[in-house]
Amino acid sequence: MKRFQVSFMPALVVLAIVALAFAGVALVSSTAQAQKTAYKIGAIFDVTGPASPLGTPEQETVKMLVKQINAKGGIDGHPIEVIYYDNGSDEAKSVMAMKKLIEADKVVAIIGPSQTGTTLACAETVQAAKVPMISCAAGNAINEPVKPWIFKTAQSDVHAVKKVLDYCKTKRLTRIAIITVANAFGDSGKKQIEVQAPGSRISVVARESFGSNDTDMKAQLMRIRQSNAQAVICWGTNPGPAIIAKNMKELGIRLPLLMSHGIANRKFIELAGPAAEGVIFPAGKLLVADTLPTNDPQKRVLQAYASDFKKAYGKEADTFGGHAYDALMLVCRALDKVGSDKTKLRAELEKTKGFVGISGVFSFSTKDHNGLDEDAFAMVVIKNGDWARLK
Amino acid sequence: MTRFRPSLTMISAVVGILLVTIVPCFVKNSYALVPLTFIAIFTIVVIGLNLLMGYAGQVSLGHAAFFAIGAYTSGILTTQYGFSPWLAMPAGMVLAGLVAFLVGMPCLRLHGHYLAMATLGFGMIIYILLMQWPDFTPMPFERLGALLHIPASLVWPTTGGASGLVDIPELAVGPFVFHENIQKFYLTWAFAILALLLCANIVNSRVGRALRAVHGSEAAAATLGVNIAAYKIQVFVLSAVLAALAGSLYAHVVNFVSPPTFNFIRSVDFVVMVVIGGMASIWGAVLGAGTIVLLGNWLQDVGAKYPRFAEFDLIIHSAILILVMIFMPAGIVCTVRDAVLRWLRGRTAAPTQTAPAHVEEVATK
Amino acid sequence: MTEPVYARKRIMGNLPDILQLLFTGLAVGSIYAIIAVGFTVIFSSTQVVNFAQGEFVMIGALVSYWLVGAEHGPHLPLLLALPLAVLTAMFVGSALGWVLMRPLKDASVTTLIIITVGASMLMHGIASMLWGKDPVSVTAFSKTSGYSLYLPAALTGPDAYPVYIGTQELWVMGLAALIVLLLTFFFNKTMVGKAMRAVSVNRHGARLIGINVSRMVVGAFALSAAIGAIAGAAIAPISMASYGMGTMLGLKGFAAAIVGGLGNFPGSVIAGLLLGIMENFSATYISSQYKDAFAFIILLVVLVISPNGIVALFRRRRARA
Repeated sequence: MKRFQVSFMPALVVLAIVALAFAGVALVSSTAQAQKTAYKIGAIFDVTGPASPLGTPEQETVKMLVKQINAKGGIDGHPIEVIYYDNGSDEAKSVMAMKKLIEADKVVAIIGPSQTGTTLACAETVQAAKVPMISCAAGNAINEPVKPWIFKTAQSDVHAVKKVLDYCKTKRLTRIAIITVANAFGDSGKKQIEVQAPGSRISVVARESFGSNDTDMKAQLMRIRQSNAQAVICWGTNPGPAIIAKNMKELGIRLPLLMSHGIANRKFIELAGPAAEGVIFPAGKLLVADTLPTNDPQKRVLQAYASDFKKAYGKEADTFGGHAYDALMLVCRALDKVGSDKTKLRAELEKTKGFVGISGVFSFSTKDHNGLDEDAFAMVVIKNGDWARLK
Repeated sequence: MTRFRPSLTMISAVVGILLVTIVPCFVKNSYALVPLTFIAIFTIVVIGLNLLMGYAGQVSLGHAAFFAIGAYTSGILTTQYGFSPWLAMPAGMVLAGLVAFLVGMPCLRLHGHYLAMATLGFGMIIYILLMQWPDFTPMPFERLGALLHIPASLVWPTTGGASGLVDIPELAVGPFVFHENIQKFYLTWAFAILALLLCANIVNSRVGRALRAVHGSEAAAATLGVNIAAYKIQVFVLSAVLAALAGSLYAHVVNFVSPPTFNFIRSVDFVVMVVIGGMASIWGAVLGAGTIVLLGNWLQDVGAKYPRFAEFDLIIHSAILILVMIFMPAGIVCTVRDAVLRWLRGRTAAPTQTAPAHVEEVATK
Repeated sequence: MTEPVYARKRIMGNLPDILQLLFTGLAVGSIYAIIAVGFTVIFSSTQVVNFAQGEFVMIGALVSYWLVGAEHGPHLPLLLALPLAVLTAMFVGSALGWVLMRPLKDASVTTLIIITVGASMLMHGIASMLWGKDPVSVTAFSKTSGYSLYLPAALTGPDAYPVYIGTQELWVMGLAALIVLLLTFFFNKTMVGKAMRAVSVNRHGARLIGINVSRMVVGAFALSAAIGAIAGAAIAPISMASYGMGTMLGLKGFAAAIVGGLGNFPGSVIAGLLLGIMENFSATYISSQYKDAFAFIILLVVLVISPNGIVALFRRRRARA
């Protein structure tokens, strides 16, 4: 013990880092730039941490759009400036970022966060500060009951579940087994299925769950095999559903496999490989934009977004980015009409009717702050390693 | 020497209270008080954990679970049973204490680091339980509800599963509600300072001396008649109770709780805070919690300007942790204090020590 | 009317189910066992509980993915990629061992544990920058993905399900068995292995008889990392690979190491296998919702009844009898 000596150089380095951290808070927060005519919009996305696959494309989309909008001369002559904060998928950090946006950066509206949890953690703050916020998360708890200042653009699980159950109903699949991932997404899907199934005269005969990092789901699937289910509904995000698709093939379970919009990306097909064939799921229309009929109002918007995103980042656009697209465009639309008064902005947002976005055609009302219905989804089947629209 | 110690605590306390009172005057925007509020909340957890790690020589890798017990007890009792937050708070603390006793009992009787392993397992179990809590009432409880003629929801509380609990009320005294940033700031710091004083007193009391003896040499302490296991359990229970208090404050400040806040990473974060502040230094808890929260806050600000930077968050966190642990295993506070003492006494002074008892002797000689 | 027939079929038909659960349980259990052995190797030579063990698994999986299948990777054949992935992990492992050298001399065990936690976070962060945050699929070792094994109808009744024997699962089990054999040989027969054991028994004594303790410690970390990386490369085709995959596997492997009695080599192998099997059975016959909690509940129970692990428990029983 006594032999131990503190070497000073490394100690000093560490101290310097800590001191910098303290100083940085004062420095950075005091240098919030002010461009006089610019509209300031705040953005909080879950860019790092477990929800980063959601937050990353959202932030990229907003960046791309801001460039586009300002290149076209901004909104009514005002350029827009977006201030981005990353909340590390953490709820406490979301609250900190939210307060900064409202009180330090004095933004007129906020888009994000990306997850239901991080959104709900900010809800009280936003309501009290009376700043309109458009979340990119899907959870129903966000606007049930409706919170006047909070909107959301992601299609609700209610509609995804309805679409899936409708499909089951038309195919006369009345006994279903569900297998859901143990996180907020899977939990919400499970609850919605339980709520809506009786209305469609469908009974849930098996309920299974898997961890987001589980390596093998055969045990759960064997339980489903023992039940007399006619179809399996899996509600989760990568990589779990891909493992389930593989395991089902391996176990020789030939039941129809339905999934959620959580797998509406190329990654799923890549991960599941041939096992992905025949999987049916509801997806935002972005996935099948090219095959939509020409009279579909969304077709043009979807194709433009998809090609712009591909050009800007060299990868395919996904539905999460689409939620951020809608959020920013809704705010810009309202700004264009009523300017930067927050109360008017909120009222204008609530009056939005027939806005054609990526996630669907939005029509808000005092009772509905999501503004979408199940038509926002198309049922998609995976065929030959690609998506095909059903019907 | 014994007369000097309480006064040292008193001085620190007075300085602390003064600092806390003044700080808001220097803060132009009240948003800056938000990270400071979180610092207060985490400080309360870190003090308890600090006692456990620094004095009882045990690590807990599941303290987020006790934090969760406090937060969820508050959330459930206030939103589903109409309890006053002031009643829910002690309820959570008692529950956490009981659970800690049950978990700690078997492990702390043994020599070695079994507590670290047990708490790790315990933390994972609580997290999974919160995630997977059934949203329907299990059959026996439904029967019980029917038997007592009360709704089943009263017999079987819900945690909201992975989606969490919303609309947790704010703390209030009569008509006065702790709602504004500054009100929450004072509220949490009042609790934090009380916790600091409590623990400073414990450290300086007979219990504290016994603990230090245990940390110095368990065998020697045992020969002197110190019941090592009993002391360790007491400290562990105390740290759990403090974590629950902090959890309850968190629930009433953020008004929302969900499982990801209480995962394994959070438990590790608490340990990191203790380590940075310095094990066996009560006041270091503030610095430890402060460094991590402000560092996170600072990275967020820098990330707002240089988005690629956000990716480095985890790397910077862990690099600091490793460097601190290798080069100043006694933590920043102790290392700096020792360096200052050494400087004061010239280069001939006694070398540094992880156990503070010796340092204090040097200081008071 | 059909009820009794159905019931009979259920009972007899359970045989393929049980075999299936046993098989997949053994595969997952082999991974837990390998990781637990990794914990054991480091713990017995340094008394350090290495919380970065799971990250070695992740490194093995992601490096072999990058070398074999990644779009912009070098597309090496598996036979070359696997040793390279193991070497990378060994390099990282020895770096960690080297970093720990200095604190090992006089810091408390707590400090050492925390450093490994920090190292785990660091690897996590770096991996997420190098490979991104999305999971990736990894090419299996063999072309054939598996065989469906039909049991004789006389045993199971008509139209029973087959038992699926995955080739990759066989690889996992085979590699696990190979590792256990090699390690047993290494620790009992080779000079270096014996020296490592000597260090674990008495560090100062080992130094006195001329063993280079530092080299042994770094060696233990490198060895443990290699073991972890093999586990990672083997499980990745089944589970997919991502920067976060190591955490849960590491914690489960850790639970196995404790259940087997920390530092007990055969104990951790047995505990790992048992944990995998029990977890699988509990998911089917109890509830899949609490499946992940199961390993940790066993961990707590074992700590309460027999803190030195299940093997010690049996040994004690035998001694008493």
